[in-house]
Amino acid sequence: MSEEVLMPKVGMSTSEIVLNEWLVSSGDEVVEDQVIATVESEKTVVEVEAVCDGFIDIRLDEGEEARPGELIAVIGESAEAARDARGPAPARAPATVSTVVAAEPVVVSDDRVVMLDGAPRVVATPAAQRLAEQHGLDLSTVDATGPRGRVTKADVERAVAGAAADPAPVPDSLPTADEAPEPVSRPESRPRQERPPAGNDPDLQRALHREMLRARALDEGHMRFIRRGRCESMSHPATGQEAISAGITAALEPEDILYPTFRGFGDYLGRGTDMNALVAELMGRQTGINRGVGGIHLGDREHNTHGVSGVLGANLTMAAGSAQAVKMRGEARVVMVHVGEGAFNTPDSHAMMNMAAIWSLPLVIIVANNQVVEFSYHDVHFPPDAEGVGSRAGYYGIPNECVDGNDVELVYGEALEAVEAARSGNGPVLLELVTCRIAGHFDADPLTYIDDGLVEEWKGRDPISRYEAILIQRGTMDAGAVEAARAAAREEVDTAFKRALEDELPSAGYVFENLAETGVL
Amino acid sequence: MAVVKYMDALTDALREEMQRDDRVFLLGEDIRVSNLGITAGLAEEFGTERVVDTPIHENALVGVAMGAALEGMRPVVEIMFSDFALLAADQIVNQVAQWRYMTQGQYEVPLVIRMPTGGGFAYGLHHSQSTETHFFQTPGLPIAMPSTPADAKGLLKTAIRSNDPVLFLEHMLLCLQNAESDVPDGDHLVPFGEAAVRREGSDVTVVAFGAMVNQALIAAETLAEQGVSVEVVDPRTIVPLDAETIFASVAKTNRLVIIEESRIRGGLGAELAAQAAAGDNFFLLDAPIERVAAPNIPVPSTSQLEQAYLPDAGKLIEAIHRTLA
Repeated sequence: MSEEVLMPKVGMSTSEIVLNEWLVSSGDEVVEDQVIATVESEKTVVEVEAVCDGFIDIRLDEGEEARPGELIAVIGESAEAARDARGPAPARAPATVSTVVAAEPVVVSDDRVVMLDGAPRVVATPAAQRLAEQHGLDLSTVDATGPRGRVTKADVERAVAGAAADPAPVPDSLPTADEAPEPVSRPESRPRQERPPAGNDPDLQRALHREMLRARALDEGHMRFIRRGRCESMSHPATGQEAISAGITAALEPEDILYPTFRGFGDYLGRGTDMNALVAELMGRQTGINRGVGGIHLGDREHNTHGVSGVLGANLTMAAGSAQAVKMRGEARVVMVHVGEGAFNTPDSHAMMNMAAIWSLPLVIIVANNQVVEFSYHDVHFPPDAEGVGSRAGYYGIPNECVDGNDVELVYGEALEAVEAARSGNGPVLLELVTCRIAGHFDADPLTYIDDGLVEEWKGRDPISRYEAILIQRGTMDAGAVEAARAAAREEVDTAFKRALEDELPSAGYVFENLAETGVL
Repeated sequence: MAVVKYMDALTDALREEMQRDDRVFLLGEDIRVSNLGITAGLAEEFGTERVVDTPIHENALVGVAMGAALEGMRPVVEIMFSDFALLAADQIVNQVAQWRYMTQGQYEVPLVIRMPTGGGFAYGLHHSQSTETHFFQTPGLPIAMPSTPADAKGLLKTAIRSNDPVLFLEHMLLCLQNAESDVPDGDHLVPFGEAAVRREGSDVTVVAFGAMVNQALIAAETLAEQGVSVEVVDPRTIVPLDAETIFASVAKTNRLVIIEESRIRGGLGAELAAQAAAGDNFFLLDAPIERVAAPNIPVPSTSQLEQAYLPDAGKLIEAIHRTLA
């Protein structure tokens, strides 16, 4: 039994990646997750980790190149087993853009060209050629009446009796019609259970802790399987921001609607999206929640998590529209939209706040201000004298608060207040949560564009370890329980990724199936 | 059967569908007053909750409609001029058209985007374009372009009942010239992807849609006097496109001319010419294909210049003569 170590995908690169350095030698014993090599593409260096415990046999030398998904080493139960393991055919990662090559060389067929040996070429229209061929008619015998001496179909028809009709192409499929309207559901506003503050509820506290751990474990697992060359979807980690997802989703009722952030998957997990289906989607499997088609552009209708667009900020107005639908139907539901301060800089944020305020929509706007926008610091995007980001809502008369986004109980409490305010029919509310992204924009981003000091400072405010200290101090959990919760989250994620690996990748033809069901014409 | 104006047929379709299904609601810029009058009076009838005036921001209002559609409503958005639809290109192309595929059928997007379109009023560059071609390549976005009052009503009612988004282009000339003709009584629905043969003929097939159908019929009438028999096929929806009916006609006439108001580069004419040149269709042709469309320039403002820009029956007759030469 041996496992392949594959060249990982480095960012968006699909070309050759250089093996920079081996940190182990053939025959060495390695353990799972040990960093064994570094590889480089377009000046981005990525670490490669061992995929399992065992002995390594190196198959690609330092300085050599390979494409993502190609074999670079084998790990076996013994040094001999690793060495003797046949180098499997390099498995190209599906990410590799494959060039479509014709199975056979294109041969220019001459059977359509009417050429007569030694005779001048007879010029005939395509329709005439086809008809003549069908009737085995020699075109040189047909009187041409067309312009510039062309033989036309009518000429051929005159030369033979009758003509065959050609089959016509199949039309595009039709859109499905809505047969009959379903009655609009108008649930009564129902009284909500009084919720105690998180500080008085040990179960809730443990749940907030667990959801933060699951979110971080999923980001870490995702990046680990990318580095292992086993996963081609991009990771946009929310490292350091997990308190936001855990806190805001805990404040929502199941029937409430969330337009989640693209950063991290804590929003989905907090809403109840199945870990296995989520991971299978990231791994491009048919078992994924969007059947491997959506990738990181995910929607989960069952959990009223309506999905995230790859165009950041596009969800803002959709959230307003869903809130409008909810309001028109007189439902007691709230819509929440979660964006970063970068997406909140798109013009639609103003249009959304404007309309939400004019129409007094039951909408909660969450702005996670993590001080970094893609590959640049806050000051590239916001003027130095601006007071906050969410305070823009003030112009529209939308109540807004700005609080520490790394204090999960505070996030939960503020979100709950905002959700209840929106539910009470008083219109939209905005909550700005200040945090810091202490990881790159995506998996292969070394985060070179912000001060190390800022990252270090915010690592010291890590929402998870900070909360764990509080939980231990309160006696809600002891150190053993905290460690067990961490291990459980890692185990859940690891199991999900390994399970997804066993699932088959979709076949190429799969992309053309279900088009009618998915609205594509 | 009653004689109905094109614009009234649109209003009737909206009213009937709003009466039939309370999930249907309208939103757009100044639709209560209504620029052309299509939605005028509906707010009084259905209330301002279902006839919603919005701030000016096309991308946002399509986004709002999208969010409402994801929540099971059936919004009908109006973009005041089809030129302005490009402000909403992200929502229309990236979100509305592709969400159902992205989520693999978890969500349907029952959303109609209506937009008055086309030139002929000397309104100039940004209120006269035929923008359907910009959206023609988008996967998941049916595009309807009615040429008659009956189709205006029947296609719009079908669009509103569809579980997929529809881009619906109403020609302003047909609205404002008070074009009128018979509209069947009752719940008149016109299916998508079924072309109508507007006039039968045997010498040449002319494919025309939207306001160009009338130009094609004028040309056909003129040419009939000269002994040329023109068949006019109106696809009615350019996505899905009823290529079967079009090429069945070409199989009969062996000549194909396409007229469209949009610019010639990459339009429906280009698509049909490519389809005609491919596979078995190639062997249907007896003569080169002709395309009649606007040139690849902005729409000039002055009437005289605009008339030079716009395709019409005269330019079509010249093209038909070329294909018969």
